[in-house]
Amino acid sequence: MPLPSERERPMRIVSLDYCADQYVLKLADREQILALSPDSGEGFSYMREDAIGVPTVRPVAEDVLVLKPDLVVRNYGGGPNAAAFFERAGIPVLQVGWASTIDGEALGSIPTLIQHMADGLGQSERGEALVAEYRDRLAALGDRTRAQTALYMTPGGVTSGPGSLVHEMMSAAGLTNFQETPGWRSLPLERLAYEQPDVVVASFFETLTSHPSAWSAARHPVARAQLDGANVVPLQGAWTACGGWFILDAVEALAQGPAG
Amino acid sequence: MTPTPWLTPTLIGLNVVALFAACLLGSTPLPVERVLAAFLGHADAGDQLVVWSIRLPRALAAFLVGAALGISGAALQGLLRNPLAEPGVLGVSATASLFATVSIYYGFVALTPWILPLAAITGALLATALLALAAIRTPSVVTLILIGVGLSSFAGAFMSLLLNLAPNPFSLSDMISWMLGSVANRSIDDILLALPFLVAGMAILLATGRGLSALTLGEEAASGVGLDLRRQRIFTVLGAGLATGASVALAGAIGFVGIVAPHLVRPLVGHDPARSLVPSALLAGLILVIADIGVRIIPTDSELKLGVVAALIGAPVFVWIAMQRRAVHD
Repeated sequence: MPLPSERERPMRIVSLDYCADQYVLKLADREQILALSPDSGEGFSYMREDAIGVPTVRPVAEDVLVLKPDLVVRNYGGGPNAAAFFERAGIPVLQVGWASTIDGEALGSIPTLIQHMADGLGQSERGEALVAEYRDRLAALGDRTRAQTALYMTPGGVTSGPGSLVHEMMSAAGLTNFQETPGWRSLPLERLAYEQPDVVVASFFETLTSHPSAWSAARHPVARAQLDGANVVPLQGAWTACGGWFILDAVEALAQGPAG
Repeated sequence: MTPTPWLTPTLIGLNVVALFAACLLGSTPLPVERVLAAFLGHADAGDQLVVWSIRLPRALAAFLVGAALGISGAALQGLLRNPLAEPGVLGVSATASLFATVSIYYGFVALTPWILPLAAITGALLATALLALAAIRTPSVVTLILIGVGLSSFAGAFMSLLLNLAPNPFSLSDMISWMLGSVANRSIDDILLALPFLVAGMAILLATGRGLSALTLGEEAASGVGLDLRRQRIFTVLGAGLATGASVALAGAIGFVGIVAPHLVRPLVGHDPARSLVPSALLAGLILVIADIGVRIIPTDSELKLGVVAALIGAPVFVWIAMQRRAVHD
């Protein structure tokens, strides 16, 4: 199905999840937006302030169809069959791809993603401007080769190894990931008994859950000791909850290092 | 006097060995000498931390939870004169974990961490009391088990409701842990929070154990030899509720150990409920410590939950015991 930019600017956009909300709010005009997802105003939504006053809709096929959108934007909203469903109903779907790298021309890099979204929303120029601004900020960080190690921590007690966007963020900020095993795993409690990371990246501690999971490794005294130090860089959940230009806020915070 | 005087000392010995073995295992390879040195307090700080703060609390938590469930199971089986009675089967653990989950998700725990064990214990006491009331009214063991199943389903339904309303995937996985049961990442703090209630419950059960032996004669005969039935019921319910509730606060709902351990112990103690209490507690503790070692060494992508393994072993045993009963009675 041809993307709407090739025809005309979509004027009845419905976004199905908070990840799609970010791009719609940033790149589309307010008049283009029909409805956002119910999460658009939550603490983990970066553009939450702009979402105030915009109607929301649950990502349920019926509720969306009745709005007669001319473009549905989604990352995961509506479930795995949503894209096929809306296309069958004759409504084009703009898919927010998963971001896997901070920069580059390949599919899955954030600049590519931004441009893809901007083109789909009929706002190519805004996309180009946002990509240019994004790359300027990235360039301003310079070539950093601090040999410091950093441990990523969440209230759920997981950390992130090579291959994740978090790992890429650390590299972009000039940090070396303390966790060397790929993927998302439980905090290496036993290793922390012997070695300390130079920097502790505490993510999501202010949003999502007010209480860490009762079985989270983050509750263990060995892990809690990590958060007490002066070497903690807190990251807002909204910076990393989804792949987008706002990840730069996190990268800049990491590059700047701990406040203390 | 005891038919098998070696039973309790053997179980204690095996528990010490199992707890030590649990301290040998972990993501950092530690040879026996270093673990021993850490136990004796002259190892480097890292080893001490790993053994005393990470591995031992986890193994101890598994032991304590097993012991509480084992003794509660043995006592409830004595009180209800039914070998299938057990906190898990009768829905006591499920109710306790429901209450614990509610106390967390509606923010009561923010007031004081003691709310968590107290909520779990309240749930356990409510369920046990309800079952004891039902046991007074109906002589049928089958009816009693069915009431337990009903209670379990009811608690399960409310738990599903909470899961349904879970605000995010993180809460969801936390709630599921409460249902599945686990001692992963338990620390001394967690143990200390549950310990007073655990000890109190087990002490009550031990102190009132003698009455359970009298009950094997039947309720009328037991009253005849001077047993205060009302008092016996209240104390057994209170003890089992406290111990089970505390175990749930520590590890979530873990089923079936409370049935397997007393069943294995009973023939060795001459089918005397009072004498089965301590060995049942020790054996159930041993089973969970070993099961938790299993959980840690089975190389699955995400760690298995202790309660899942316990149920995989325990549920077939439950069915087997139930089928044996059918052959003898009815």
